Amino acid sequence: MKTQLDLRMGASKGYDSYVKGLFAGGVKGAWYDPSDFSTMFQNIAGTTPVTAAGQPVGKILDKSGNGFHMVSPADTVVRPTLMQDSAGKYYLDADGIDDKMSCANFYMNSAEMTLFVGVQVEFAGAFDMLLELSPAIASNTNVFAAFSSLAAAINRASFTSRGTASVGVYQEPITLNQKYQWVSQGKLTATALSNIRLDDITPIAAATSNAAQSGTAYGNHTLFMFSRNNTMFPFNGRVYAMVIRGAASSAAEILNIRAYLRSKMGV
Amino acid sequence: MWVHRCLIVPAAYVDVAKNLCKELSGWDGLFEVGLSASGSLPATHYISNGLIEKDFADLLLAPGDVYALAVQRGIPVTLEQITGVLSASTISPDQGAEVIAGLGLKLIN
Repeated sequence: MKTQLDLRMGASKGYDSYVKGLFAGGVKGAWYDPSDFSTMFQNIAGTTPVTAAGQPVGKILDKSGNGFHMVSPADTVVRPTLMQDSAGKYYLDADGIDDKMSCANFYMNSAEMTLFVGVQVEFAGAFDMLLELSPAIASNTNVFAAFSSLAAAINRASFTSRGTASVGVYQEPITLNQKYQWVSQGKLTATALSNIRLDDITPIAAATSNAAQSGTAYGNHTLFMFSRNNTMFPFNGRVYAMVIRGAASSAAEILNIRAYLRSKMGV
Repeated sequence: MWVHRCLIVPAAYVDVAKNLCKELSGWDGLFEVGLSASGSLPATHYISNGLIEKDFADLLLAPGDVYALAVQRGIPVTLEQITGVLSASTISPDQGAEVIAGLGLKLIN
């Protein structure tokens, strides 16, 4: 197994092959990399490539090999924008108003999952959806969601995994306009897990739960990014990279993907 | 070339604005997000925010040109309606959240 040091020495190509390898053996999931221009298109048909920052992203391809490409619903203002920050790092910018993307039939067919996101929250409203499997987790089963929110004037990052019972966890406070390596793990069976970790920040008690979720496997639903059901709760922030694995991840894998996220965020 | 614009239209003009954008730019489904001072229904304004083509952004500054194009394309609208919707609307290059706050409005979710 490659070590974190090996990956650093191998620079971005080493990370790419490592991340790709995490989907070997039939592991389902997705990998979105806004720094890879070969995976992005301005239009939703996927015929006009993104060539520079400041252009809309109507479609971003899944680099995992599973074909879970994210597409905006229309070639209009609802597309997120590819941007480049002061460190030269590329990100998808979601405006917190009407930007949205989705992927139909996102089926991991696994009772366990790990979510990795290089993210920066720019504004937290009452409930701002970064990612949600199904149109609404509360009315569906075998689903998950990641979102930012504002509770009692404290900004928070939250993850909910749900078999037939929802188990939500959160980490707070989060600082707006700060880059984070967000890692969440879900296991939605009776012996369950739902957790969230940001960087090396000591998790609060509410950041982990083993309460039973009583599900089977994350189901075949549409995966929505930057909104709920392409209609509400818009996310306002940046995504530098995102990896969603339909599998548990080892401590070493988590360390390595976090290193990958840092390379994408310049931190 | 793309430019960022935040477009906010009073509810009274939203149907005209949606139709004009659809017919002139081919963009259907704009102004679906409601705004109000309280963040609750009913919506007093509607917003679209993001990248639009610079030619279209420039067009929005000239009601006469919008009207001429509308006539050319057979859109049943008057110059008064176009002038009314554009003068009542906010068209800003600033970020949407700032523009919304500046108008004392909130997103309705």
